[in-house]
Amino acid sequence: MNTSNGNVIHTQGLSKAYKGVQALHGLNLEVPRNSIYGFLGPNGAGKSTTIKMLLGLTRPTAGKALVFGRDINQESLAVRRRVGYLAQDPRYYEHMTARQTLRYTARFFYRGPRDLMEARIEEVLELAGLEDKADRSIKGFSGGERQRLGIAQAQVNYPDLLILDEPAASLDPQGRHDVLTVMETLRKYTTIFYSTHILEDVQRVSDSVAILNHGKLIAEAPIEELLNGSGSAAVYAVTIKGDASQAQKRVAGQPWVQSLSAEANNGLTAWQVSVSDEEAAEDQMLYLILEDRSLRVKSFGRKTHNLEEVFLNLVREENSK
Amino acid sequence: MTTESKSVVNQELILAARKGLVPVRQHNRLGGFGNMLRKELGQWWGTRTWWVQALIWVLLLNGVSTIVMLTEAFTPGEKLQEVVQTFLPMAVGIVGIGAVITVQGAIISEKELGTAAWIMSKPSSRSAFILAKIIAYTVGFSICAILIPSTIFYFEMRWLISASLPWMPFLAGVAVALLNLLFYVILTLTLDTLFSSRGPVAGIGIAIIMTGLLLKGFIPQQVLLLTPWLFPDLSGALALEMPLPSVWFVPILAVSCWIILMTAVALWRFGREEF
Repeated sequence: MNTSNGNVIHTQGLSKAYKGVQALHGLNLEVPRNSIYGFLGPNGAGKSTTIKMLLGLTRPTAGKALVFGRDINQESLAVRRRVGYLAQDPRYYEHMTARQTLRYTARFFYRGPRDLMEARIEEVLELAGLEDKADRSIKGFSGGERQRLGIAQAQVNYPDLLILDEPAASLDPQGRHDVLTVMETLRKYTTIFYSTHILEDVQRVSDSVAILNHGKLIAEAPIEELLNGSGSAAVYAVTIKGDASQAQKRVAGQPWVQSLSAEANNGLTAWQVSVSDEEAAEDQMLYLILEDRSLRVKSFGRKTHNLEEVFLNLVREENSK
Repeated sequence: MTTESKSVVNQELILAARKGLVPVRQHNRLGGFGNMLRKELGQWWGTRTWWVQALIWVLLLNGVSTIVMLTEAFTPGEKLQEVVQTFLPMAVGIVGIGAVITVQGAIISEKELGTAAWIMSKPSSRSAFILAKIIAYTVGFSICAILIPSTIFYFEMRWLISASLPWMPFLAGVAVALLNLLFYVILTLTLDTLFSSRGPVAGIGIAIIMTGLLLKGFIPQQVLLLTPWLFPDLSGALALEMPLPSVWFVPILAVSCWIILMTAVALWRFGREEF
């Protein structure tokens, strides 16, 4: 594999077993360049194990992975030169200040000139909102401040790939918002591969999502595809004012309608229409309803799932197997 | 690497270069060594560690030897022999214990805290991580626990008992103490890579020292020759230019071999560490 197909990360059958326990089963992933790729899964699903393998912190027991077309085992150092990493619970040397930590990090990548390195450190401090705490010892940092420092140190080398393990986990709502904004800003420069439990964040910023459960990949798709329920029938949600019983019969009788469920509430009727032909549904459904001149259509649109729903359904399905 | 991948080779490095930053030279085996060594040395010399250590060892080693120097019970000739035979064996035995106690956990704590994993996620090599620790602890301990007290001892001896000890033999005795220190620093760091808690590391290290100090008389000479347990006697004898057995250099060679072997084990084990 090389980067010509646009993928920054490519894994093939990547597996990891710890003392007989299979933590990851044959993972196949393709992470496109300049994407924000959400890596989801319940605790113990194998997300951190995957991340650690990509960084050479732990070795796969089977399969292979390439980052920028380079083998993670054979060329780990070359890979790490182009990666920024934020650990799930980032820890640094307590006797150092934030600035000293960033200086130490920067020296793994650059040897000078000193003033430009200091300028870069200042830049990432500002980006992470730590300017006023730059010269304070890390010992007194809160969880959120450590997380911000983690984000700063991960960016010091202008990485081509940012790997973030639960980047917003210990942040307050403002901090979370800031992290997501930074991620969106960085999209044009870098690829972001991140694991998280906060599905709302994934839905907001991710382009693609992979869902892992018990070490197995149970879904991998662009976020839109996942939310639209790719592979299953399209579902349209319609809200109608008035007595919609006749309209319901007309619509349900169409060959492209698979099922129609209706729920009346406060003079409004909410339909969920599952269809086999989206074009026909979009062309004809409204006309069929409005044949009855007493009805008003309050809303009409394709129903998108929220990520939490999709995630929970997939995990539930997988667990019941 | 393909042509296309070359063309995208590190957009960000290009950006960095545009900003004038100069990337470090790429050393696969010792990547990040200079940076890690600087940080480790900084922990000794940039904090109060160095003077606290130096103060402890000066008070301990020079304090005891000063008491002996001020004792009236010896003739001037005996006194020289007595103070040297007190100072150097102490610099061998007690500093070894101090090294084990101080160095234990140097790697384990980094594994536990996650700082080792953080460093290893950067372009740094595992060998460089271990070697930086070996060098920094050896340099720090050598200066604070052996070289500073030895220098004070040498001049104090001339001043308090007006005894002049030739400096070359004295340095040979000090060199044995340094080799002994290096042995225990590397032993402790190696045990740190092998265990995940401090207990066995300190226990094994101190047990080895105590065995030498307390049970030397019960151990066959052939075994003693392969250990640092003869170093307390050897260091004093070298400094005082006393007659030495023909095999006096064997423990030095054996300990040097142990040091190389233990370093190799530490590098191998840490290279296989899973974070």
